Amino acid sequence: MRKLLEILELIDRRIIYTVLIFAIIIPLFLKIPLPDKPSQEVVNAYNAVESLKEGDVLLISTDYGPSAYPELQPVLEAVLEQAFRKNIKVLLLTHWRHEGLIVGVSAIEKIAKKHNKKYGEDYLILGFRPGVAGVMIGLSEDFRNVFRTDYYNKPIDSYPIYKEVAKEDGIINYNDISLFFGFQAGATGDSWIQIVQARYGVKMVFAVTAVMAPNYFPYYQANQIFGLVGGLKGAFDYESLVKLRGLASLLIASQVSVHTIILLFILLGNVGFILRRVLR
Amino acid sequence: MQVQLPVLVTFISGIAIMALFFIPREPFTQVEQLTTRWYVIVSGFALLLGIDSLLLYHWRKIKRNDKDKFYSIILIISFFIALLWGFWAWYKHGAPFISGSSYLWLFRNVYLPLDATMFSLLAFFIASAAYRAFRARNLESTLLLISAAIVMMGRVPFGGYIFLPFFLLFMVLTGSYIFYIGTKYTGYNSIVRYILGSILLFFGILVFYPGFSNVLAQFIPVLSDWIMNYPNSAGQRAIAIGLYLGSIAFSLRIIFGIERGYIR
Repeated sequence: MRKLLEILELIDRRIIYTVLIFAIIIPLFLKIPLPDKPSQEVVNAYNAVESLKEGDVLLISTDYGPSAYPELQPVLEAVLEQAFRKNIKVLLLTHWRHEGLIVGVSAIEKIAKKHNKKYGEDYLILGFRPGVAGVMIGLSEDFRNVFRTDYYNKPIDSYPIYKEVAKEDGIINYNDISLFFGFQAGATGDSWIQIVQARYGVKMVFAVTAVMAPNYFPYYQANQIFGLVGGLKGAFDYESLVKLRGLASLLIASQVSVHTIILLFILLGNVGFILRRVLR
Repeated sequence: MQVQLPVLVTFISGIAIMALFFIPREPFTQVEQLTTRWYVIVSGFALLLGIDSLLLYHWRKIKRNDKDKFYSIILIISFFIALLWGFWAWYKHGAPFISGSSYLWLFRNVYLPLDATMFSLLAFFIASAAYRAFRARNLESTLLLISAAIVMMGRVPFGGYIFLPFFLLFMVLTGSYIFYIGTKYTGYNSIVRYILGSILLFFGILVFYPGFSNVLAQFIPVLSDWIMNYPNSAGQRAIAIGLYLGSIAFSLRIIFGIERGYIR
């Protein structure tokens, strides 16, 4: 009996890893449809985009790399789907060097193609510039201060979208942005809130990884951000709201099984721990 | 002079940048943009220092025939391949990351999968660490265990219903354990433990009643949201306030020349 309890308490990590591999892979093949009840912070994020009118401007910052791809890419694609359905103009930039650019460009090109949206007319990829705070402050005056040229090395004011967004004054700054949607896997989101939201009052919504979500709840609770999409569950909620079955809808079953397995292991460990104490 | 001059430069720049941040009007905004450009240039030099330090560290490992020198060789070769390939792509396409550049191919097909693989390993480590760390050793660790379980199941669809068997097992196990501990005491201490153990056992067994289990399953996501919105936000806010107060105090010490470690 004692031996069995010891085994329960000290399960080898290789057994845990093996069980986890199957818990991740099997649901991917089964493709189980799961019911969903989106959380309020995700509904608020969805509503923030939904409240935009045709011709409004959505600024997107893809501050993440492939490590956060499964959690954030489905939200990015769902947001772009929602924006292009409503004919909203999209500007995309990143603070995450080329990783952020690659994930952003691949998503926007995929969804734009689906909706027959033209580059330079319906959306613009600003690209990456170094210096997080410097970029954010520079954009407050004139986007051309920071992004003289776009991702394809052409002057941004040479595109029709620039003239449309800039209106009479001929410059684009935060006053022309209807909504900011940040995709964050690091600390850049704090800078967006502390510099851009606090100083220039830009309406903001964030999609963050599950590990980052607890850090963003104080901002959400203080109404500094209007909505929050956290982790794969948030991505799944967002896809459900946009009525899109994307990557998150496929991966969420794996997350359910993995959480269940982890909880099962925790319970087994505690059974061993408590019963061994009783028998001692 | 070797000490006074850097302290003076730090003092003037520190005060100026603080003032610039709080006055978002011309010409202060222009000056602020200029300083942020300087910051980018200075951080570029910091990157050079980092590269120098990284390469030297691994070169020394190779020279002293370290048992892990194989990894150092791989690192140095990869570094120079990426660097030279980047320069070549720059020469050929005008920029290494421009659409159609061969460097972009390298980045997409080598760096991105490696990055994703490294991060995905985290799931396995977290699972193993959670299994070892979440033990009901005392009241605090039990509270942590319960809240972690609620948040884990509350953040997945259908989690409330999956939580039910765990709830049953946990309540029966903990209730029986507290009941058992009660046998070791006498009088008031014993009665309190008997009552507590009975309550836990009662709620555990109540899961078999569909009315209660349905309410509990619906309640888990609500409870998970509450934990994230209130106890979590309060904790995060406390950490943030402490962190920022510490940063302000340390920054002021540097600006006023009390902390001079950066000069050495």
